[in-house]
Amino acid sequence: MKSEHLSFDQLSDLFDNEVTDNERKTFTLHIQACSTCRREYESLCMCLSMLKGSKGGCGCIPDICQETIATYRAKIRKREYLKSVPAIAASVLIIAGIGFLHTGHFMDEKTLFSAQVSTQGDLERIIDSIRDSKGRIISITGEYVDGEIPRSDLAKLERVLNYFRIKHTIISDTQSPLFTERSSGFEEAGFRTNSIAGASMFGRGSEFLMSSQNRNKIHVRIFK
Amino acid sequence: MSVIDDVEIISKVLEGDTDAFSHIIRKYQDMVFRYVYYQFNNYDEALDITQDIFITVLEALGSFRHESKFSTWLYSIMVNHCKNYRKKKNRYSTVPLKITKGEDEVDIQLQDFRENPEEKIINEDSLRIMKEEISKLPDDFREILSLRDIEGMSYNEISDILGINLSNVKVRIHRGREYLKNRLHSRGLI
Repeated sequence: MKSEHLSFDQLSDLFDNEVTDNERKTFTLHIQACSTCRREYESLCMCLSMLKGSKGGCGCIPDICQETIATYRAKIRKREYLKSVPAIAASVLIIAGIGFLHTGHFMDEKTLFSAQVSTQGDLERIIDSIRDSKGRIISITGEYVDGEIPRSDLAKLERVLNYFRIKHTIISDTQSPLFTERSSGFEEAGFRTNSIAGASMFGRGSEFLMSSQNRNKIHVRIFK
Repeated sequence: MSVIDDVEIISKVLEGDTDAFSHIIRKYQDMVFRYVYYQFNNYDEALDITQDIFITVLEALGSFRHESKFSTWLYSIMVNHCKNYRKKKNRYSTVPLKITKGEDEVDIQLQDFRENPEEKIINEDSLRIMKEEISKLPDDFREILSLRDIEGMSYNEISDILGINLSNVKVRIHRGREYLKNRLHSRGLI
């Protein structure tokens, strides 16, 4: 055995006592007899005792309990907050979307009237609204604009006018006027139906107002 | 504090008493900190990582299935956390602070003035060299020597913590010790 030195693994196992009783006896005897293996084993023992001795070499650690638990709680709070962000964002979008639709920004034909009319003056806005409702302008005075639009587009026009808070009234509905009377400076008109505005006063020069006999058309007066 | 105590504390924490976890922290913080310190050789960094490890343990406490000792489970989280941290850290290079002396640029050595009683017992130079050599060990060797020779864990415990078989544990310990011994020999320490 003296001629065959112990391997480092055997010395390491001996140090850790990971050997059988027989091996321990043999290795110990060899180390006592062989100076090379003895030196090697002593070096290993010194190395490992220094390594163990460095256990306290990292300094003292302060008590980190409170800080760790506080950090954990803050992390949980942050996580819960972040979890709720998509839900809050979705709610805001839904509310905004409903509000947007409710205010009439989106029309039936998916056109944005507001974008079209916001840069225009009141008169142009009214004229364009009538045109966009596939209607025609009957008369324009200093105070109002009279127009004729298809019945099917009335709701659309009203949404736009309501959105811009433009005062308006429906002059005639499905029925043609019951009477037309001209007097000095004023013309008075009445209707058979009571369902919508029954009468109105307006100035001269509105001779086209009652001329329509088309039942699918509606006369609307839009005030500037 | 026995193993049963750990289980009791875990039950309390899982029932919502987070403050009970402070017993676990107090019990294991020294060991965890020491291991982390020898992995990264930086006091402040080790302190932060130790805290992160306990937060990770606290978050994962519900998944502890009592199949092993709590300490083994905690140490395996510790080892994996350090591995992940090292990977993340290696992505970024660090540049030492330098100062110009004449025509040469030398690194600025920041002295650590913290109280360290153990350091007074062991020769300061030997400890410094030992720390340097530990930090220069390959990661696998440093990891296993910290667990075996600094913390004094058994081969079986190390096998459970690192998730490798016993023969691999033995081989790694032998190679690590041999490597370290040769390094210390070349520095004239042994």
